[in-house]
Amino acid sequence: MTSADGASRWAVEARGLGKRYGRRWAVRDLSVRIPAGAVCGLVGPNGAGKSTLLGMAGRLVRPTTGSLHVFGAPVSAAPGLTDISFLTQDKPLFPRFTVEETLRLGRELNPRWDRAVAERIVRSGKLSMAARIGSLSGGQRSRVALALAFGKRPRLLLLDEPMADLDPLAAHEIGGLLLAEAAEQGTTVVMSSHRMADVATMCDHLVALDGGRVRLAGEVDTLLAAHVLVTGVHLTEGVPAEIARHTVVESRAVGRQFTALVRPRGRIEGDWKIAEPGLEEVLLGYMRSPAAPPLLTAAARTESAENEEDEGAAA
Amino acid sequence: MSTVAQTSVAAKGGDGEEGKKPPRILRGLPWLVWRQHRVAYVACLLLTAAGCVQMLWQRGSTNDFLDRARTTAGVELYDVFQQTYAEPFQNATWMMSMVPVVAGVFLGAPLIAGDREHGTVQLVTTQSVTRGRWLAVKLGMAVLITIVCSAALSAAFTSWWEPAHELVNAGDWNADNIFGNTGPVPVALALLHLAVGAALGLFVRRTLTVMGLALGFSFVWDIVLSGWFRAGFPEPRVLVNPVEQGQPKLPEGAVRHDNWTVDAHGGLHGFGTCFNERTPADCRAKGIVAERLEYFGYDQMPGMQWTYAALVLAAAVALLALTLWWGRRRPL
Repeated sequence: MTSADGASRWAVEARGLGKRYGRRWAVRDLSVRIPAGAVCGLVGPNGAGKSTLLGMAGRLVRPTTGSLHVFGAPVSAAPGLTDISFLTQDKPLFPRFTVEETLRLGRELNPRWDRAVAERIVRSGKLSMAARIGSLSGGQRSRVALALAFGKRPRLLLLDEPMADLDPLAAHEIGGLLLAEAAEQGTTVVMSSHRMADVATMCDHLVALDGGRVRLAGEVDTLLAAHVLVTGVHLTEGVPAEIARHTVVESRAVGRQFTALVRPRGRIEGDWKIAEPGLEEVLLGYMRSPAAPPLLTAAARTESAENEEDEGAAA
Repeated sequence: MSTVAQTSVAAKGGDGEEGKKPPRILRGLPWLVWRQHRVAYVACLLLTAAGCVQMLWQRGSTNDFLDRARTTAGVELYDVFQQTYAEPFQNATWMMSMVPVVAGVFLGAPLIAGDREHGTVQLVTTQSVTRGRWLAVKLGMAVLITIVCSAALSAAFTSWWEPAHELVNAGDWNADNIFGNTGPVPVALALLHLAVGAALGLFVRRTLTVMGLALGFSFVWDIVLSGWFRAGFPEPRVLVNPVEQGQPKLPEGAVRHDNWTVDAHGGLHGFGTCFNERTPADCRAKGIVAERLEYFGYDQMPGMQWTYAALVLAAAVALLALTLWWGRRRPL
């Protein structure tokens, strides 16, 4: 799947991807793709396989099965090195290096090093170039790590929990910096996060994982539009027949009050109050209901998966 | 011509503003590896320099002593030498025997384990360099430092010991403290210990544990493994005397390997078979006709050392290659 100029439309494309640690599959039979230029959130509970997936894309983890392409080239191919920046969760830096030496590391090891970008990111945080990394706060260290990641001028930036250990102010600042730089350089960003709020405000694409499999993938707007929140009064046990016709992701009854998260097929009949759910409601609904069928929009589906997934909003 | 020069300066991207900073001598991975390990490397180089200066100074003093002693007849050279130089030589051999330990524990062990423990292996391998190249530069620079330091120290010690080789350690150059600390042997041993320390870092993530294991290896090496590498290859020379002439005399500079007694049929018997007999005739009565001495000549020493060093070096190179291959093949 390449466009006319030879560049792939897909920043990340996984087919049947799996990674096994001992007997446990961290990621299993995962087929999904992320279009170039997206800011994609990677969400899911602990142990869902987010870090493993990022690690495989960042060449730190070797897949057990399946294939993983980055911009159309297999991830193991050497030229891909310059295309990807990967910021792991603990943002490792050499603690005895100064900020300046850390940026020099980027310059020495990256042929496309953009010194101006890296220095702008560091300077806008009012960081001294002579400060030792070990003496910086968590937020300042994240800033330096981001400067290193953007200075590489990657086409794909992988971030594993970039905001996890930051206070709200620093997280807001780093998040803004991230989006501004990504927009300016046209970088595709894939970031994992526990915080739904981060994903809701920053991302236009989403991949939700649970138990090493994809539960939701695609544009945030399309995913949201594919679901409705149904509430009403229901007297008998179980899901009412007129709701059960649709794909019910999750349903709950508190007394006579019935609530369901539904992927409608056509119009919902009956006396139901229908509302558009928020991202958090949709995500939590899927996480709480492991049996609900996954939903991948047309943009996120690989060709091999396209035939199996015939329902959903994109249809 | 001048325009070309100007554009190339401009293309370097504002290097001009770094006017007061030190020049960029090392580039790329070598710069990173040097910067990361520079404290250890500089310490090694300084200690080496200090050790060399000390030993070369001692060498001058020892040579003066030997010159004077040899021209002065009637001096019991050996005793005076022991009084004055036994201790400095003992200290120096102890220091030399620490060279492989330092290479293994302080250079080799933290090399890969340290980056894995602190996660910086992820930082480096997510830049635009492959893991294989990074490991190659890391191992290469550590090997270079190890060779420079161990070769310089060995050269200084050997040049100090050589003129006095018949006196130091009672002339026994085949003992570990001389054989293992002179000529090419320290270089090979240091490289082997370095390789072991680095390789351990592939499997154990905690630096301190790897340092402990590397230290453990140096004990195991001294007690068990070094014997395996030395067993077998040297052929001792032989002197045989009729029993009437007593024990053959050990040639100058040689090291005794073994003593035997020989019967009329050429069969070898233990040294003790004819030890308590007073006269050769008593020995003859027991069937012993000759005394046999096996020894290593001083001129055999270089051959033995180079053979041993080559074996150790081959093991070190194999281990380094294995480390590189393993580290390239799979993420650390």
